[in-house]
Amino acid sequence: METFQILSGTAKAFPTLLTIDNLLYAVIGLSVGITWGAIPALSSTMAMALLIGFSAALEQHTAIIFLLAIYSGSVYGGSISAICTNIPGTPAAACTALEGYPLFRKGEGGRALGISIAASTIGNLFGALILILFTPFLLKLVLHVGAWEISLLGLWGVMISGSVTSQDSVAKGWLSGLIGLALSFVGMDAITGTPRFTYEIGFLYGGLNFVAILIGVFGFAEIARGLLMENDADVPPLENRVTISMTTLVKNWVNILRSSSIGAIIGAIPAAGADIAAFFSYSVSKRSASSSERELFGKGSYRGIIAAESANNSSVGGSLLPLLVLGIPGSTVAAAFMGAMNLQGIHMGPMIQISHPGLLEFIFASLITISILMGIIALAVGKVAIALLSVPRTVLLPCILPICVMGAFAAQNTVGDIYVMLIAGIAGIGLVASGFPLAPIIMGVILGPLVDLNFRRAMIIFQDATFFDVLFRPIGLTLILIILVTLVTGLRRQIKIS
Amino acid sequence: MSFVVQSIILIAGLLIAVQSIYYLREPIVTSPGILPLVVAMAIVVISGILLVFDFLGGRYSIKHGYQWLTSAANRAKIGRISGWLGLASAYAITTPQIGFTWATLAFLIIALKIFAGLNWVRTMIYAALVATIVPLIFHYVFSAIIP
Repeated sequence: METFQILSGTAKAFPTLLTIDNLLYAVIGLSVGITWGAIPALSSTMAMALLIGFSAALEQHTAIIFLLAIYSGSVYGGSISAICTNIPGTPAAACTALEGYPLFRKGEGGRALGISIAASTIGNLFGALILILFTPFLLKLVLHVGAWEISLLGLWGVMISGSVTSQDSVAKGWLSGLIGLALSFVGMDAITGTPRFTYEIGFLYGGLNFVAILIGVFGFAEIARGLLMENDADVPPLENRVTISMTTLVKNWVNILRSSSIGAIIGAIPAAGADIAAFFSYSVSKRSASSSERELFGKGSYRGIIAAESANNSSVGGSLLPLLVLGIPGSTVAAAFMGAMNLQGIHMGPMIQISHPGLLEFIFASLITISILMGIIALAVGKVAIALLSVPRTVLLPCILPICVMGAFAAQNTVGDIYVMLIAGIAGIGLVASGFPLAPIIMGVILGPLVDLNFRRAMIIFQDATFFDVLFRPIGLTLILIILVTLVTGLRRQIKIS
Repeated sequence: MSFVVQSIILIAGLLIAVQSIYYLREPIVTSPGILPLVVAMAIVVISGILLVFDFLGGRYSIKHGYQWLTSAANRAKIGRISGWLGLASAYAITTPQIGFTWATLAFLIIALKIFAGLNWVRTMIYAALVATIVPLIFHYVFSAIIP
């Protein structure tokens, strides 16, 4: 029943959505996102981070469609440089590079790009569909979730993001998450009004601006990392037109469905994101391939491209699921989207249907529209993105710093945010150089207020309850067990690494 | 590098823990200092354990640190990153003082000359284009206020 209501609500949202302004910003968002994602060293999170501040000035609906277009576009864009230069534009396109570049060298670049566009579009649509189907069900379930459970969920979100994003040390991932949590405590306490860690500095009373930290960590620090990267790759011209082979798509329909499902599920895990979805789906696709198909993997397999691209794009919808229902983002880009919505006065979570009726349906309709538009825009701007690949990184990256400065300032029009961005960026460089993942910091900063407020709210509610009354609440107990499992598996991995 | 960063995190954790105690009040579980204290303690414990294990595993040694610092590749990287940090910091600090356009123009002229090695004409053209067109785009497309 609820699913039907949501579906009809989504259909009704289209007239609101399909205005010239909204469509124009969707096209701008997709073009910027695809081009941005195509350039190695410029990530999807960076694109979102830099544009959040500016989106604050846009009308609510326009800001949503614009940011979702950037998100979807930048996830796809990574495959362009992956196929044409063997350097993935985003980490999510690493598997696409393994298969796409050999095809490009064989003179099948146009067909490989076409297949990646089609797989990305279908993956995006599938992710949107999963989002539409599961949101009503989860919203119903969330009615039984109280402040205690929300605080545990937030804590788990920070922990799991630390576990999945750290490569050489789980403990470093958790430390990053804790640093993010600590940063989120700066400012006036929402319950008692006590200023915390403000040291009588005016702009700190409102808390550290999330957008400035995000730009510092994923903009400033990433530019520095990009400047240290090896020389730019040569970009040979595309020998043939971009064409979509329907035969290959039809032959791979099971692969597309499976990969899109994997992408949507992994996308819903906090901080797991598009890259893990693509890697996992690629390896499943390789394992399930026939021996003749498996031989093609690594030498140019369309099956591999389809698996990676449909998974990384369907993770977009998946990552929005926990965000819309619980207020817990499924990826750093979704966290950035959450920050942008906060600037618009929209607070995601269980009460979204009551506080902003019709907004969920608008988001669903936007995702469907963007998925369809993406196929068209990708075909149109693909060549521009390929041309931009030949601009040396040392020219491009310094030109992005002014956008970082403007983006940090634009969120609240505060000069202090420029300094916050600078400090966060310098700290980010040090942390990356020492093997600390940056995504958990963002998860910590965005989920910190949720954990803090709900934990203390729960303690006020339970002040007359016994310890066991709190412990044995069914959903709370399940979450505690999940946190313990995450902790134990993380510790086991850490010991193994050590 | 890792040793320095982990030590800074440990010290920061200790400072946050001490500061958090000032925010504790009755009832403790709902006071504004409780979660900052718990988080700070966790930071101290995890970073402390990491430092101890790295020491015991022989990851930190003066010889290793000296070798890292004196290797030609690392020295080039450190030089490049220090140059970038100095220039970018100067740009971010001077922007509110002298205005976005002039600060951007000066920053890009220096950055493009040093990092990209472009000739003067191209450097000036790129710097002038970015310093003028980028704020115009953001102003008209997003109604952004330019710092």
